[in-house]
Amino acid sequence: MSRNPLNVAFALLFVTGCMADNVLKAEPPPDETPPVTMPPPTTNPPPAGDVVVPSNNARLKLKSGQLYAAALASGLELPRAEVCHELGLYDCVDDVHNIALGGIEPYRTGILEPLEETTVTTPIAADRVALAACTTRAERDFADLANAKLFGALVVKDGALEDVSAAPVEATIQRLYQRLVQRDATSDEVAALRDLYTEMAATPSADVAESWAAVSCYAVASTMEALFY
Amino acid sequence: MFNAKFDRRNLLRGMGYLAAGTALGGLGARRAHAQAGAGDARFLIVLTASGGASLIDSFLAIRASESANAATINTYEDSRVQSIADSPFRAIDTQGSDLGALPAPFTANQSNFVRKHKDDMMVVTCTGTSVNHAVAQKRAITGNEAWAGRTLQELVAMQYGDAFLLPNVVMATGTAYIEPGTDKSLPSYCTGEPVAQPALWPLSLHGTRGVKAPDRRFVEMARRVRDEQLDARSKFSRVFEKSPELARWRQQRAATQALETSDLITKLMLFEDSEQYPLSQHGLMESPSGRLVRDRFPKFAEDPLEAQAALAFLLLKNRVSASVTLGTSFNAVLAEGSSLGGGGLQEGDLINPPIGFDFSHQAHRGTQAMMWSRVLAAADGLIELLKAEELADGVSMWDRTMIYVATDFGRDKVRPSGSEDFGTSHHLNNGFLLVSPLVNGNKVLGGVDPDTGLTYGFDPITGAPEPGREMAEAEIYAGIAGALGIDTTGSGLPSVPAMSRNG
Repeated sequence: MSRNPLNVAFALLFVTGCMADNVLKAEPPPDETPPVTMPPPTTNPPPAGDVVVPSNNARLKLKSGQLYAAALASGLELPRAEVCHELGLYDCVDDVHNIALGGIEPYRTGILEPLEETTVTTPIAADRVALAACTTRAERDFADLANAKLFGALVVKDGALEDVSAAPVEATIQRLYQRLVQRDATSDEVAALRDLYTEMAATPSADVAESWAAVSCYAVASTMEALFY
Repeated sequence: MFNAKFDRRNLLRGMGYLAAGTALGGLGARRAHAQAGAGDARFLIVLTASGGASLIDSFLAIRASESANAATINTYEDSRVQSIADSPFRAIDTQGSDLGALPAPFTANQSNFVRKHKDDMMVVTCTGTSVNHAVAQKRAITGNEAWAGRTLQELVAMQYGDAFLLPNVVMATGTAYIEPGTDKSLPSYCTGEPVAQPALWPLSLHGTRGVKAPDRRFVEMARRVRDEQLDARSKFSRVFEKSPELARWRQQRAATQALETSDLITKLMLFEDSEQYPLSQHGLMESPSGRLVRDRFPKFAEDPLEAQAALAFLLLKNRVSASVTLGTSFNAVLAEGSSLGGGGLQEGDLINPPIGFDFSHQAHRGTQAMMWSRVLAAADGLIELLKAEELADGVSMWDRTMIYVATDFGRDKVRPSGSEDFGTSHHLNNGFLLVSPLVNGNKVLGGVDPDTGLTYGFDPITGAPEPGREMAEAEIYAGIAGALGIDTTGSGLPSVPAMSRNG
C-alpha cells in the first residue's frame, strides 16, 4: 500500500458514496408551520391614537449571526472582531453560536443550510452577543467620554447621570435607536429607558451611568425589531 | 460523482424543521426538574450508525465453512469469526493497514463489547423499504410512519419527558435521524432540540453568565423593559403581531429563565478550566461530572461522537432530557495533529472515515470494522456511566435506558470471488442492535441464511426464528416502543412482545 499523502488527499476528494444515486428525497417535512401558542400579552397598551394595521401575511426572518454581528459592529463603532468573544477567545458568532444564529458548518457537522426556525438557544445566543458588544462600547466610552463614540453626550458625576431628565439623555437614547434600529425613538421608548435608569439608580452601584448605558444599548439591540427583518 | 449537497440538503433542511417545533411551548408551566421515580422513568439513546452498519460483519457474521457459496457471499474465514461464550452473538476483531485508498492503519474490536454486554444485547432482523440514506434513516425512527409519523424519540419525550427542560435533544447532525416526525398533534416539547457543537453548546444556555456585562440585576431590569415595553409596544411588533416567528421568539424567550435558573451552563459544561478554556476567568465552572465524562470520553475535544456521548450522559444524568440522539458522522474526522504529509496517516489518525459506514462503498470490511468499533465504544462508555448513576431506590439509570443502534440499511451480501477487500452498495436486508436491560437480552431474534447472507425474521410473539419471514420496520418500531413501555393505545401498532425482556 502506498503511503503517498497524495493518495489520501485524492481518496478524500473523490470518495464516492451512495449519494449520487439518490434521487429520492427524505419524507417531506410538515408543510405548515407548527402551531405556536402566543404567550399572554404582558404589555402596557400603546398610546391612544397610535393605530397600526397588522400585516395579514407577516413573514419575518431572523438576521443571521453574521448579519447581526456586522450590524452591531457598525452601529456601535466596534471592529467586527471585537463584538463578542466567548471565554475571551472564541468569536461568539463564528465559533460558538453559529448554528443557533442561523449559520452553517459543513465540515465537521454536515450542516449545509441554516436552521429554518429559531431554537430555544437562539434568543440566549443573541442576548450574549448584544450584551457583550454593548458592554464593550459602554466600557470604552466611559473610559474616555470626551472621545466617546456613542455615549459622549451624557453628563456623568460620581458614576451617576447628573440629570436623567436632561436633554443629553434623550439624545443618547435617540442615537441608540438610530444606530441599532435605524429610526428615531418614540417618546414612550425614551421614557421607558429613562425609567430604567431611575430603577437602576435605586440599587447601590458605583457606576450606574455606565451600567445603564450598557443595558439600555442591550435592551434596544436585542429587541425583535433589531433582530428580525 | 459524490453529490452530498444534493442529498444532504434534505437532511439539513430537516434541521430547520426540527427547530420549528422547539419553542418548548409550556416549558415555563412545566416543572423545571424531573422528579420521576424509577418506576415511571425511561430513557432512550438513539445511537446512529449512519451509512449502513452491516450485521453480517458483526454479530451475525458467517463462517465460510457454513456457507455453500462461501467465496461469493460475504463470509469470513472461520478463524476470524469469534463465538462468544454463552451467547448467540459473534464478533469480528481485526486490524488493517489501510482503508481502501486511505493509508490509515486501524485496530477494531467487537468481541470485548459483546462479552461485556451480551446479556443486555438483542439483535433483531429487519428488511427495510429504502436504500436512500435520508429516507431509510427517517424510517428507522418512525417505523416507516408506523404511528402517525411519530419518531421514537418523540414517543419517549411525550411519555417520559414532560417534566424535562429539553426532553428530546438531537445531535446527529447531517442525518435524517434527527428530523422531527409529522404528527402535529404532539406537544411542541416533544420535538428535538438540535445541538451542533456539544462541547460549546452549554454556553448558549445562559444569557449572561460568562459574558462581560453589568450587574445581573441591571440586565434583568433591562430585559423586563425590553420585553414588556420596548418590544410589546413597538410599531414593528404590532404590525407583525401575527408573525409565527415572533410568537415563537416570545415563547422561546419565556423559556430562557427556566434554562438559566437550572444552571445548565455549569451542569453540562464538558471542558475543564484551562488556558484554552479559561472558565474561571469568566465566572464559569466545569460540570461537577466533567472529569467523569472526560475520563470516559477522553477524545471529546476532537471526536464529535465522543463529545455527543459525553453531553448525552450529562443531559440524561441531570434529567434535562429523556431522549438523546447521537451518532457517527458522514464527515471525515482526523485526530488533532495528524498530518496528511510525510508518509500517510498513523494508527488512530483517522477517527471517522469520510461518509462514515458508507465508506463501505470503497472498503467494506475495514470500514465496517472500524465504524462498529466506534459505535460500540460510545455505547460502552454510556452504559458504564449510566450503570454508576442511581435513578432511585437502588435502580440505576442504565436499568431504565435503551440504546437503539439505528442504521440506514444493510450492505450487499455478495463479493468478488474470494476477495477480502471489496466495496459494497446498499441493501434493504439487515437488522438492528438494541442494548438495554429492558430488551430480551442475549438473543438474536431471527437469523441469517449462510448461503445468501440474508437475514430472516421471527415470530413477534414468541421470538422463534421464521426462515422465509421478513420483519417490517413497523414491527421493530412497535417492539422498541413496547420494550420502553410506551402507551400505544389507539396506535394500531402490531404487538411484538418478543423484543421486551419480560415479554
